[in-house]
Amino acid sequence: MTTTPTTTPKTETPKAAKAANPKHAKRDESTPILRVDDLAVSFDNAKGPRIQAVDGVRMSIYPRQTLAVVGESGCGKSVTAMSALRLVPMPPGRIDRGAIHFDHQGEMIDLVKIPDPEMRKVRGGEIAMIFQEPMTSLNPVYTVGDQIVEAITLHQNVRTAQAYEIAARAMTDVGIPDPESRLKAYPHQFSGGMRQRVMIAMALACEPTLLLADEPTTALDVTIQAQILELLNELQNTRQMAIMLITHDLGVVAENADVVCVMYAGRVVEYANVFELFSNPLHPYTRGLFASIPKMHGRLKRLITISQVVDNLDEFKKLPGADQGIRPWWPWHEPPKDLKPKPGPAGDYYLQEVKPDHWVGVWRTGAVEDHESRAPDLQYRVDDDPNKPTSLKPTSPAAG
Amino acid sequence: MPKVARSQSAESITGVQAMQGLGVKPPKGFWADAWDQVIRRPSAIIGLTWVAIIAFFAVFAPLLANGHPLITVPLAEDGTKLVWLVDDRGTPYHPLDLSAPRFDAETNTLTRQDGTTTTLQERPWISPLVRNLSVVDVLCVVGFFAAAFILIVPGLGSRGQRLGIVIAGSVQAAVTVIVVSIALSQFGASRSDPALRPLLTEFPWLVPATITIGATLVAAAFAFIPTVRNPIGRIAIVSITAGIAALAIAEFRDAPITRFDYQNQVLRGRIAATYTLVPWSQSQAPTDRDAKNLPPGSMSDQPLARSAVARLPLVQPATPAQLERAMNEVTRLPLPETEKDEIRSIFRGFLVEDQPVTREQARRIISDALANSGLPHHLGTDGQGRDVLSQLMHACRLAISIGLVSTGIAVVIGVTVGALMGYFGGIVDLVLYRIVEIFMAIPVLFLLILAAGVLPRNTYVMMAIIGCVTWTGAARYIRAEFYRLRNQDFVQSARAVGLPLRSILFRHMLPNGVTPVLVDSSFAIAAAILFEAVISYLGLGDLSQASWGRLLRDATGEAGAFQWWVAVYPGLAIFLTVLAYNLIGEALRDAIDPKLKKARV
Repeated sequence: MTTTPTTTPKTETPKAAKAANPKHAKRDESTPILRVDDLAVSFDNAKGPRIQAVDGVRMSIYPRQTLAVVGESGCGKSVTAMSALRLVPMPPGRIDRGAIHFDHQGEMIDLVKIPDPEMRKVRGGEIAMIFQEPMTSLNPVYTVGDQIVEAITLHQNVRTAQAYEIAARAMTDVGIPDPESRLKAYPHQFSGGMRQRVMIAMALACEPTLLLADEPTTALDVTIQAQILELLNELQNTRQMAIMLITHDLGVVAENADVVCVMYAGRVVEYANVFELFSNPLHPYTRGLFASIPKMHGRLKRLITISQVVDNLDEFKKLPGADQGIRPWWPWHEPPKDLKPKPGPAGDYYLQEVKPDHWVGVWRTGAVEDHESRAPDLQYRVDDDPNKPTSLKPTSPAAG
Repeated sequence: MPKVARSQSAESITGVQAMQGLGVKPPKGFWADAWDQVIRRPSAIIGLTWVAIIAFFAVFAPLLANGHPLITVPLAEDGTKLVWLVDDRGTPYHPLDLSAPRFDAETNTLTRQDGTTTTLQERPWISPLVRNLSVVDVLCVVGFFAAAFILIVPGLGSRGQRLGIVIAGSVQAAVTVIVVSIALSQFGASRSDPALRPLLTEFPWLVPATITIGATLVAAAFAFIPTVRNPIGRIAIVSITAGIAALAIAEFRDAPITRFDYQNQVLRGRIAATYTLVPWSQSQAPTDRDAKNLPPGSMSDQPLARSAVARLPLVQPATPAQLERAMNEVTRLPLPETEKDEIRSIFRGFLVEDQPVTREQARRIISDALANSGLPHHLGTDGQGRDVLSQLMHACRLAISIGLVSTGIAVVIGVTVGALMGYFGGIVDLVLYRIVEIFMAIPVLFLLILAAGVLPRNTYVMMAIIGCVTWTGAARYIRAEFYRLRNQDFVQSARAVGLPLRSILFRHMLPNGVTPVLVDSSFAIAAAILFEAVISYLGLGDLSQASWGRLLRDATGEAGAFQWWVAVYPGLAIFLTVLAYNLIGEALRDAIDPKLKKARV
């Protein structure tokens, strides 16, 4: 896993660097490529108040890092990713506040505020997205070649013939045999896994710096899932690309993620590197998630449910600093007595670094009243970790 | 992976072979598949065949039915062939018309009345038909062959691309023709505003300049359509426009004066004329009263015979005095002396035999004597003596164009508005849908009747009105489809790739949602044809243009007499055309409707 900065001479002129690879040249791996700050997105509800899909979400992604965003359906994973591309349908959607800082060729821009033409350059060119459902993500009336080539010619200054060459190379990269003839095929002639490969080829053809993978393997069977994830991993390492992997499959997270962000009801409840999170989940919800995974060993009459864990008030007192009154945020519980909410939305909530490089969403009680919120920054990569554990075994919490 | 030669003969292939690419069928696109579905239905074949026949006549009617002979050769008194003498302006002279003081036979030099001299060129024959073709006629024929060339000759891109070129070219030609003809109708010498006339005489270049500017603007508009990216397409666009403008200017500069006196000249033995299939133009109306309301199969020499016997009493046998007078009238007939002598001898025969002869008997005998000189009216003539078959053929162009142009306008407006409504929703949808509702409330027929009273009676105006009012159907279909499509993953993915709105709406969403509009528009074409027929039947159409509806109106004569041949043939044509478009629409719906498709499989 060598990285390019060693091969790129630092003294080269900006022009030459641009010609070589404008997006990846001089990529500083220690600054985040994407930093989401206090993002809040709400949707119009015809009868009743607006629905706050995402509220106060903070996260950051570094180059060559995979950030897994996990959580149940409707917790705001996809809306967070869509907001980064401003794909949230508006109306009914609306970005209420917050910023999404993106490292656009060395300069940080706020994706929430930039004008539309610039946003279109970022879409596809800088940030690509793969969707959950490969069967419907390709336009049925055009050949896959036409679709990939359209994306390439849009973002790169190449002629159509060259674009076909790039597309064929991208198809080879994602493991589609005989790319020249497959480019002339229509989506319905591909199987689901092949279509997802095509989607990835399309997303990667423009060499994005960040890939938003919204449940890329949910609709695929297990062997194809493994292949696709393997492929993403491989491409990530060869291209210094960051990936935001949205999933609700903890197995996928364990295999692929560097950093995990657990979300619930539109807020981040826990944020840590994958080994830390799996071995030492601190938020009761996360522990409930792990507890609900069926085990092969041991005998259980019933599977443990998340509610069994989060309904146990004792679980909320296990957090480091619990003795100072820091309580994990959980919308279904009465807030603690000494809640000191800040004015404004999501003021009762705070993402606390409870131990180094491990964040948990907590109530803004008196103990954390004056803490300034900031996006968690965790520049951790499993591949760079010299003493990474050999296996991941989620700890089973003592469940009632 | 190495490419494996594709097997042609294997009856079955294994999965491994399939993975190696054996027996792979070339992929079939969405449109190709839809077309195959449509063409499989007998009703679609019948409908398309009829429309093709109509389209054929729309293009070739001026060549197939024309009162101008295809070829004329001047004849001497004794019937020997002479040659035309043509001056530098292209005016042909009959050699017998040129005589000594003005014409020098040695050097072929003619002195005109204004004193200028010109050298005449010899031509064995000239073609009045070709010389009298209008810009649109030439354009249709040239465009037809150009389109056939593009569609048939390989190596000009895929089938879809070639079809796109043809459609784009014809749309552009149509728009240019409309712009140019509006310019001509405003500024054309004979039609112009009296206030403008001195200006036009002072600046003769004004009209050509106006036309050229208009055509250039059209060309520029089309050349900047983003779908036309390749330079060849742009060159083609500009050259089409330039060609049309040049033709229009040429027509403006020497508009031929249409005189259909060929038949008289043939009867007098001055020229020999070869006619096309139907020797009548659509607007060719003989001044002869007796040529009106001729039944199918009549010959055009019957008017001659009729006028020869016009003075004879209708029911009672003719008296010798009346026969004598009729014989003297024969001198006025446009016939060579030999033929006149023959008719006189027939009259003399009546006198000598002293048998009672009625007008009708005399007419039949004289008509038989003239049988070889006349021209046939295969389907008879209407109340003004115009040939019904010729009008039927010439009206095909109106029938085709009124449907296609008005529906084309409606689809363009409807798709654009519907796409915006469906894609954006919200306030855009709310506002635009109110506009749609306003337009839905406008009764098209009454608007057309009103427009006939207020606006110039022009088929283009009619097309524009029908198109600008009936777009609501297309808009509502597209709106519904876009509502469904805008949340589809491939649209999201197109947005995520960063495609511009134009591409998302019209390149990615439209082809997936256009099928109901296609079905709807084929019914709309039928409806537009019916609108035109109704308007023309009411006598509110363009009077210079043959129309099936106008023929229907002419079927009832002034005295209320009903000429069945003037009603049945155009009625049948309207019926079959509307039926054909409905059959095509039904077949399209069956082929494309996904629900029916599932049921079929």
